[in-house]
Amino acid sequence: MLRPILVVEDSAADMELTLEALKEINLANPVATARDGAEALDYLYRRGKHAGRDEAHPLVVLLDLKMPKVDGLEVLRIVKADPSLQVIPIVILTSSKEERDLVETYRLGVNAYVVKPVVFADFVRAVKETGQFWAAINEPPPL
Amino acid sequence: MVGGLVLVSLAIGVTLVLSSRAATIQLQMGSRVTHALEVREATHLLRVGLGDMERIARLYVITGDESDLPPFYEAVGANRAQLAHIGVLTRDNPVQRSRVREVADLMTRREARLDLVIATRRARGFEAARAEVLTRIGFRLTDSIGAGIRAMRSTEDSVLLTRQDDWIAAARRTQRFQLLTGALVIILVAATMVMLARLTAARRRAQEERERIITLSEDLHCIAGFDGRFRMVNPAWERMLGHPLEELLARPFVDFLHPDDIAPTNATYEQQMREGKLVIDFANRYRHRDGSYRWLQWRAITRQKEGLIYATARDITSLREAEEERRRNEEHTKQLNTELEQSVEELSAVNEELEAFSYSVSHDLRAPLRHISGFSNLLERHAGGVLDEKGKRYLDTVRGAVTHMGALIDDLLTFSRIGRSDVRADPVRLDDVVRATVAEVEEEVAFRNVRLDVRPLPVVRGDAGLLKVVLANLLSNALKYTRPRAEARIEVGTDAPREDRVVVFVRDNGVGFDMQYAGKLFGVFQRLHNDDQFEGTGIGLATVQRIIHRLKGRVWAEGAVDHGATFYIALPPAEPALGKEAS
Repeated sequence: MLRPILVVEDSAADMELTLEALKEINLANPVATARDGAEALDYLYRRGKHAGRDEAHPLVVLLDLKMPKVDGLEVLRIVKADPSLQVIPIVILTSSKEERDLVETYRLGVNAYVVKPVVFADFVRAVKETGQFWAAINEPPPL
Repeated sequence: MVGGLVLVSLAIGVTLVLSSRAATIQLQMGSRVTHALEVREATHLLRVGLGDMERIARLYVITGDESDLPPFYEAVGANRAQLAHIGVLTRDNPVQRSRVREVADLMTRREARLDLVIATRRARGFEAARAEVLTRIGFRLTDSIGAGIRAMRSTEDSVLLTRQDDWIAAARRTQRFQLLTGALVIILVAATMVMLARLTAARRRAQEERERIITLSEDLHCIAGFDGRFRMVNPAWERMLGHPLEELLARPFVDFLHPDDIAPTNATYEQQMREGKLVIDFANRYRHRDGSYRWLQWRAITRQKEGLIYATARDITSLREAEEERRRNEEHTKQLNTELEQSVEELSAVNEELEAFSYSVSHDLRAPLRHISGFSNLLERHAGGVLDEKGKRYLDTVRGAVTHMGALIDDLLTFSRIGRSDVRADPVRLDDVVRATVAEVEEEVAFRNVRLDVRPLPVVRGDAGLLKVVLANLLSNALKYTRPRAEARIEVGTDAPREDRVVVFVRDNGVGFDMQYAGKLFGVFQRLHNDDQFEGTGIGLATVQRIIHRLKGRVWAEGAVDHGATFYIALPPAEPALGKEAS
């Protein structure tokens, strides 16, 4: 079974646009979604409504920063601090290019940081290239 | 003067010694005269004694009375003793001594003669004795004795004369020395009196001078007793404090002190009396007659033996007031500073709020914008077939607005970030910065007919990242506003370097601007063209100005409508020395 791509995004509109863009690269990998940081952690730790999940760890996590409950930074911190999860590549996909966010996420060990472009064509291109890179070009860590 | 007195005193001493010695000599001379007189007296007594002896012997010859004989033998003994006495008196004179011996011999013979006569009278009667006498042997002996005694006496007379002369000479010498001593004493007394008079006059003059100065002085002078009262105050007291001098002298000085200064003044005063150290920086307040107070700065010294404190004081009221004023100003300044610090704190709080605000603008405004863009695209994809031309144009307009607003937000965020980011001050090679900037617009330069002329640029002190934003803005402006030109000419160069700054310019042959609006060029959202002519957010040049100001530089522009524009930036050189070398 192919390893999934996990998209963590609280905005329904952004989620739809992201999934739309990912669709355009015709990936065979399944795309899983989480609507906030807490759900993302449930998914990764296979608990709550993801308790019975049987796929392997995601190939890559596209992680929004600003989310209710548990925000992206917190998710990143927990994942990178957990030896069983820290090998999972995490790409921040966010509206913010605030320097402090950049500094903080890189300090925590983020794998990439992508700013969501405003113009749709640019947005699609950014998501497509990100998906392509992590799903097809990049060699994932062994399970 | 004093030396003279000492000399005179010494001379008096010497004359006294000399006079004393002369008197001693005179005494000696006197005793010698007495001696000679004694000898004379002794010879006289001897002669009388001898006469007595002969007279008594003759009496016996005449009377034959045995009772007359004892006086005779007494007289003999007395004469012998007298001669022995003369011998003692004249033992230091050999001539007299031999005469004494001669006379003694003659006297022995004379006695023997008389003994013979006496014996003859007793044994053979008067006539026999008379015959014996009439031999005149005895008389001759007597004459010889008389001659010997006379010789002794005349010798003694001449000795006496000499000695009398010596004595007179000694007495005269003594008299002279005494006169000299007396004269010297008179000189000494006179000189001493003159000197005393002079000293007194000098002292009086000095006293008068001191008093004149003290009376004249604007400083306060006083002498105070250990009883806390003034002994002396100078007129400056009355001038400065208004109290009559008599009043100052009549009351204890604490009466004139500021109530707050009484305790410290008394403490200092008591310490003065105890230790007598020099007081140099004590200050207190004295009350003026009008009720105001004057600050006095004291210098004082104690004479413990006399129980007096000598002091001078200076009016430092204006100094104190100035100090007070300065202190108040300082306090005021401190308060202002505190307020300023508070304002700065508040300001930085506001700044932080603004930062949080722009952060949320960055995130929250972009997201809906992205959604508008995304879904209008999806809408076109989904319903493109059923939309007519008008509908498609509407969608285009929506997308164009989104693009513009996206740019606006990005520019505003850049602009606000410059205000709060740290600015570096490194040497920056502007050549490299321009090269990197040109690379970003290469496509447009290649696509259009643009002649881009970049001259060698200096090294400046600044922030490479921010300077790149500046040059990108200026270069993209130049490209934008030369779009109507068949051939765009853009020139990047530098003016002759100066020691304190370097000037870099970006010149174009674009549409230019009216110099009367030059002031508006660098304001936020200020535009000289509308969006139909040239798109833009109105933030680019404001950003340029903000960066240059933060780099401690200056930016300005020159231009004319249809004749292009030149933007100048002046920046500090990387090293002052570089500017010098270049010149």
